[in-house]
Amino acid sequence: MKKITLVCAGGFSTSMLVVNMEEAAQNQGLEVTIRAASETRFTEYENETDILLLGPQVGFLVDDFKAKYAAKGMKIAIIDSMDYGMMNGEKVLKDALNM
Amino acid sequence: MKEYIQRKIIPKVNRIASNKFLKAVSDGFMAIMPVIIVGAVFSLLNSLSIPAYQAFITKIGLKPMLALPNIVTNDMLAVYAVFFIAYNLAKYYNKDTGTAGMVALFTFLAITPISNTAAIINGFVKSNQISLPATVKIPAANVLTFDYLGAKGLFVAIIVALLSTVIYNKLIDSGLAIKMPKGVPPIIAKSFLGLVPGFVIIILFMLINNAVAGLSMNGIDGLHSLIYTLIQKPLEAFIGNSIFSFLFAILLAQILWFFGVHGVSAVILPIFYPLWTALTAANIDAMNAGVPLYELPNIINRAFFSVYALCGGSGATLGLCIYMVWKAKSKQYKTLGKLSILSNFCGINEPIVFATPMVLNPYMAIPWICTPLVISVIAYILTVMKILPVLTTIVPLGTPVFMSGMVAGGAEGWRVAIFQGVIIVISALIYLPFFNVLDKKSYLNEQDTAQVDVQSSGVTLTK
Repeated sequence: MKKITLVCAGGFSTSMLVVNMEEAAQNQGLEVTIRAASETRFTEYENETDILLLGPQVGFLVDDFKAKYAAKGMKIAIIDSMDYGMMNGEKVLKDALNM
Repeated sequence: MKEYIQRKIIPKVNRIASNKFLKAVSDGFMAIMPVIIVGAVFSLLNSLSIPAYQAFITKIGLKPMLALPNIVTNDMLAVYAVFFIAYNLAKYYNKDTGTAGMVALFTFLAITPISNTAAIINGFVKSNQISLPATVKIPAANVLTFDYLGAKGLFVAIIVALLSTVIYNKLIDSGLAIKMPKGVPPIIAKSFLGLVPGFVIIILFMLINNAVAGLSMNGIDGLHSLIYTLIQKPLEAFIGNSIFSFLFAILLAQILWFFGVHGVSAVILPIFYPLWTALTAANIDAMNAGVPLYELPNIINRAFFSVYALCGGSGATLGLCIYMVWKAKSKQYKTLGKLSILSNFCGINEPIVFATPMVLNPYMAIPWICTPLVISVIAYILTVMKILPVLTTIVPLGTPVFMSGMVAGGAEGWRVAIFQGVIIVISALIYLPFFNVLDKKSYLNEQDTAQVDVQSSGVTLTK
């Protein structure tokens, strides 16, 4: 089962997107665990994450995260800002699983 | 132009935003939010200026209980700040967070003046030329006075937390720490890890503190009074409690957002929150001392930012969002409005920011930057005119509009809540002319594609 973690400044807006992604996963019968965290608390989930998605507003952290986790095989990307704004759970989930 | 911004400017902005020291300060201040709010809410309950209520809480003995939480929270804010800033910087360095916080805390306390009751009483007796009978025994107890534990010590807290954790990190990396042989339980090994850095750091700061005290400058007896008089006080006066620097902060945050960077967490939290927090704490103290809500010293503070400038998220987009739901012509914006309106009431408006979009969108740059500025200026003028009360209580992120106003304004909160209604209208008025252009464009696009779809499916369109 794939584990996806979404990260933004406070974990508020990503948690909205998580709800939509979970709904999309359920509709397609996909087995994934998706959660949202503020970027400072991500360390609590670092061993529970296969795919790390950053909200575009904290996209500036992508290099830091890559330096820390890419070697462990974690896939890291910034969420497309339009998909993020429209809270397009289906598309973000699809892109994440295709990484 | 867009290319240039993305290639040249954004990486620079990103570098500033991801600076580890700024982030540690901002995360530290986020972490102590409950401390501030608990103290502020109790202060509010303690000082509500309704005579019958005051008589009641005094009579049943509730008053001292209502006063206590603020004493152990806001009056000791620097103690919490020093621990959590060090904690968050250590997290960044991948070092033991608790140990770093602990070292910073005892270092901070080591340079904070400690008095003795006997010395205080003797001083008082001498300066008032009172003579005590020889049989009177003056109680001698060591006391940590609150002078520099609260808002006045915040800058020292920041400096000590950052410096001590940098040194802590360096010492451990350089192998100077005591390492236990294998087989020693990790918990024990961990407690020894902080030992050498702890010694080095506390000694270093005590030496600096004594050296500063030895400078024999007027009114300066150590690091605390030095940093407070030379740095914190001037900063508070010129940058903190000034509408112009407040507007500058908002401008900076909005421009960063325009480039797609979370402006609040990039500049407001690390640079302005320490100042605004100190100003808020001063207001709470004044309120506890019986100063009426309209006479409190600092109009600009943390609540002023979150209740007015951030009413409905960065850019104060709530009015725009309501208009989208209500009147947008295009499907795109109607959908966007509906999906974001509830969260926008709670100050979370990333959907609007990224899907309108506000980011890198020249059409929306003017209202995006101007709306919070205009709102702040109006709120400031109304507070000076004593139509709105000076705000005291900090509201947590995510508190819905109106409720945040009610809480932040204390007994006069209803006025603040009504003004938040006005803010929504102002937001709608400023955004509308610009938004309508976008909406129309998007509406025409939708019509075109609908037409193409119909034609390509082989049906002729007749109007």
